[in-house]
Amino acid sequence: MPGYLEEEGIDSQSVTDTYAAVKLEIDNRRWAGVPFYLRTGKRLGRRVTEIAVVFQRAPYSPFDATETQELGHNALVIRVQPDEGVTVRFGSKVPGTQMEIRDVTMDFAYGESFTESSPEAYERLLLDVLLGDANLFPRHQEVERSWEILDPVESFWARHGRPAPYAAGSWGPAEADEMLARDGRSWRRP
Amino acid sequence: MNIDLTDTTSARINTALVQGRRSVGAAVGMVLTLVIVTDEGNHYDALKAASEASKEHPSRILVVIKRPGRSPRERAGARLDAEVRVGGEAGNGETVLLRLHGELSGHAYSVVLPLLLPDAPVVVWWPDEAPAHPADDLLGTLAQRRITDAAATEDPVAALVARAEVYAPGDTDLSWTRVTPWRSVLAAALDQKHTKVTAAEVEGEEYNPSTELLALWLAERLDVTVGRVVSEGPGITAVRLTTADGVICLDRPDGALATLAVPGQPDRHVALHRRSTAELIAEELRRLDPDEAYAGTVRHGLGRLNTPPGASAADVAAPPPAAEPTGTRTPAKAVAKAPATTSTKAPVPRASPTKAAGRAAKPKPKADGKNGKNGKPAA
Repeated sequence: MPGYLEEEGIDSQSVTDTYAAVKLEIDNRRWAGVPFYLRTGKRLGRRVTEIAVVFQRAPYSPFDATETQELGHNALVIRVQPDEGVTVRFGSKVPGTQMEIRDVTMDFAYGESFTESSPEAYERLLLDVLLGDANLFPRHQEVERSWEILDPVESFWARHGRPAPYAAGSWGPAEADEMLARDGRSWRRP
Repeated sequence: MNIDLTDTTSARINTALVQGRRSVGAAVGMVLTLVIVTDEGNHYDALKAASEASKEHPSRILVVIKRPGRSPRERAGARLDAEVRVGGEAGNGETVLLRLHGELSGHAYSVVLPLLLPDAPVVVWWPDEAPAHPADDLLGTLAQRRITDAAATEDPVAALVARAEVYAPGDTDLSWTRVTPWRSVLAAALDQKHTKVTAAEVEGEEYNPSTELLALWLAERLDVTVGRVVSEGPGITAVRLTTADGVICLDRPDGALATLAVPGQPDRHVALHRRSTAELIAEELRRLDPDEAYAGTVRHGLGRLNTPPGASAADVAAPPPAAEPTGTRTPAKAVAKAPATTSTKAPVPRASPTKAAGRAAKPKPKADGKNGKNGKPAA
């Protein structure tokens, strides 16, 4: 699979970005200390849109450290597309006398509960356009506010640095992994 | 349900998996992705073992079959064929056979990556030929655990020496898994009997990495000289631990039923059959964190795999000639490495750096050290 710079008709010196990862925070009391990590990119491992709420580790006081070290972070994953659904991920004890923990999932798949599959996202939007229903569209104020967040990032990148390269079919450049490693986290594999 | 896909892509395989799962209607929570890297000749047995193990560990099994092709034309092309099996005799979970033709056989990593289960841990298993450095292999970097099998290689003991040198946390070998029942019975025998073990002896087949590992494990844990006796097999045939009260002997001549003889107690029969690959894989998949006991054992041994201290002259001559150079080269290295490796894992009282170095320089290995240093003149 060719990368963007190897595509036909693309300047091999191009600085067009195909991947973005940002960390955002909301500056108020309610959301203090909750980082939002967003990432998007072209030609990553696979096409997937998800929102993952990763919970903080609870204090597992009754158990000692070796018993809970295999425990991952509990997570609530909302799968937007494809294979729409919700997954809850949590640790569970493996049956038996040994104290071993394994992460398990609780799954709801939209496609399994309804024999009818939901329409593609753009099908629905086109129908709304025809009906004149603007509920699912952002208003111009929202769009402008969104750009207020992104414009400083864009202008900084335009002046400093080049996009970090990543292999086609991978989950993005190593720099994005470093960004999360600085916070003691790592990207989950979607 | 089987879905065959010819000249396909990862995206289409993913769609087929979702479709297969829905048509079967089974809601199985899969706990891990098992990647089996093999070739056309060996995939059947490996997959059969993995499917059986999936009864205990529902998993997505990805079988990577490399077919680089014989002619230059085949090698230049690239094609991915897949076979998706869900439900039925495929065991619990999902199985995907990936046939990588031509040039694609060198890019297994990018084929496998999109097919891994979200968040779930990944285990890579090389049932026959494993890369020289499993942890540095691209597929190996994906995995929490990397399973190799020294017993399946041409020269098992040499393979084990090589694995020991490149050990990284998460590595394991099926020849180590094979000695688990032996270890538990021996440990239990010593639980009841609190006398110090002064010497040990392990008896087993000549080209058997498990026998070597068991000997090394005893040497590391008990801090005694372990003798290695070659027998007809099958596998490991006996372990004898010499104590002040007498000899604790675990004897298994037929590969199924063992007799445990402890001085002052009646002999007991212990079921100690040779386990199938499926059972071994199921055991390995039970734990997904690094195996510290294995790490200690292979690190302890390194150079002394072929010539355990106290081995008789006949045993020193026994190791295969191919392993000889590695065997004589490593002792010096092991001594040099010992302080660094042991100091990182502080709470191991038995194998203190000075002790390890001192032991390695004891009677038998002294001769080895000489050979290692003046390797050329001696040869």
